[in-house]
Amino acid sequence: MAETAGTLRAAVQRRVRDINATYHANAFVLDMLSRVQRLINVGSQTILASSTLTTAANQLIYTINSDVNAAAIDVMRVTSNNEDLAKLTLSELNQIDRQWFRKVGTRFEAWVQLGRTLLVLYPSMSVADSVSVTYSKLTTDLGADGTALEFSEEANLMVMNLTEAILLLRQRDMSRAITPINQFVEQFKLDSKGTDLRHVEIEND
Amino acid sequence: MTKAATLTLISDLSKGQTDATAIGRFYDDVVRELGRVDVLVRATLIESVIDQAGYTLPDAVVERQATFFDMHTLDEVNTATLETLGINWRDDKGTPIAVFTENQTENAFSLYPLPQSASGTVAGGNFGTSFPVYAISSIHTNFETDLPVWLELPITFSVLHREFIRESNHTDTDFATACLQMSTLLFAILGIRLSTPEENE
Repeated sequence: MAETAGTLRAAVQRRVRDINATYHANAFVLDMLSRVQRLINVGSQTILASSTLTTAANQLIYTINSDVNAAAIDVMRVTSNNEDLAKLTLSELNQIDRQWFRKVGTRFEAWVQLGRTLLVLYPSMSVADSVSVTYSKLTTDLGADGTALEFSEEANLMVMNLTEAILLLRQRDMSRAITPINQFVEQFKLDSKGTDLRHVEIEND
Repeated sequence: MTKAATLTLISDLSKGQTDATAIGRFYDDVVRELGRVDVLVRATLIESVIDQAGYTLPDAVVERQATFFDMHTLDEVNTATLETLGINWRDDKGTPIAVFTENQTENAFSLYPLPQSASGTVAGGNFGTSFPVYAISSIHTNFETDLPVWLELPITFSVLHREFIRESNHTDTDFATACLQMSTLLFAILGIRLSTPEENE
């Protein structure tokens, strides 16, 4: 049987020695698990989804979490007519075309993500069209014990370690929080795709 | 997520020990710092006026990343460079090719040379068919209080650090230090490096 949010909640409460939810209410622990899972997925880009973005004539700037999808965070891939568009940075696009801001073409060639909010499709088209966008998604809210988990078992270990550390900080049990934090940092280094945690120093007392 | 929701979370994580006024102020500080990193990026259109060099972006704008006149990407220059063009460079007219900000108020900038074409009225922020020719556009980081839900936890711990490190009847330097480390870790997961208040001093 697949693990549910309730399984993780109970496991974390056992770890912080609060099996009766005396200090951390069940709803609070579920909320923390949910937030931690979402945060880890933004960093690790593990759970992906795709949507069709309907493009407007002469428009090349789109808002990721409204035009693409409310659950979209970082764009991973954009295809048009089954062809991958080139991923560029803003400075690369500026070097390629100083007039990109109003360029109209006959097919989409490249895309640029600006911060975590905007997507540029270059050039714009003179008619409405569509592209397929693959993105890291906001994972499902773990609002109830029965909610199914989207992460793998290994990724759920990261979620549990970080949530445990947060609950221990809430208990002001800082020394016990060190172990799950260090475990998390080690796991995340192995599982992430390039996020650098080396500047994070965890004190030992 | 709204500021109010985050402040509730901050209070929950401190078991109700925080001062509501102080954490509200610290929240604004953290969110403004967040505006300096490449996370919340927006595009803004401004109406251009013939022979007018100076323009001002909305208060929410934190840092400009790129500025455009109509379709042209404008170069960032300083006035020393423009002085080399002659003593009357401020009167030069044409299609703007550069932008400068020296000795101007926050979010104000000037175009060089003076535009000779005015845009029509800009209609909101639609970068589609209603985007008028000769408009000035800016891509910039933004100060926003309604933030993505995945930013809430790192902001929460950054605020907790500031709240418990300050002199008060609930000062707890150990907890504050742990919150700073947690905040740094959570921002690092997101690929964000924020400076601490101590680094800013």
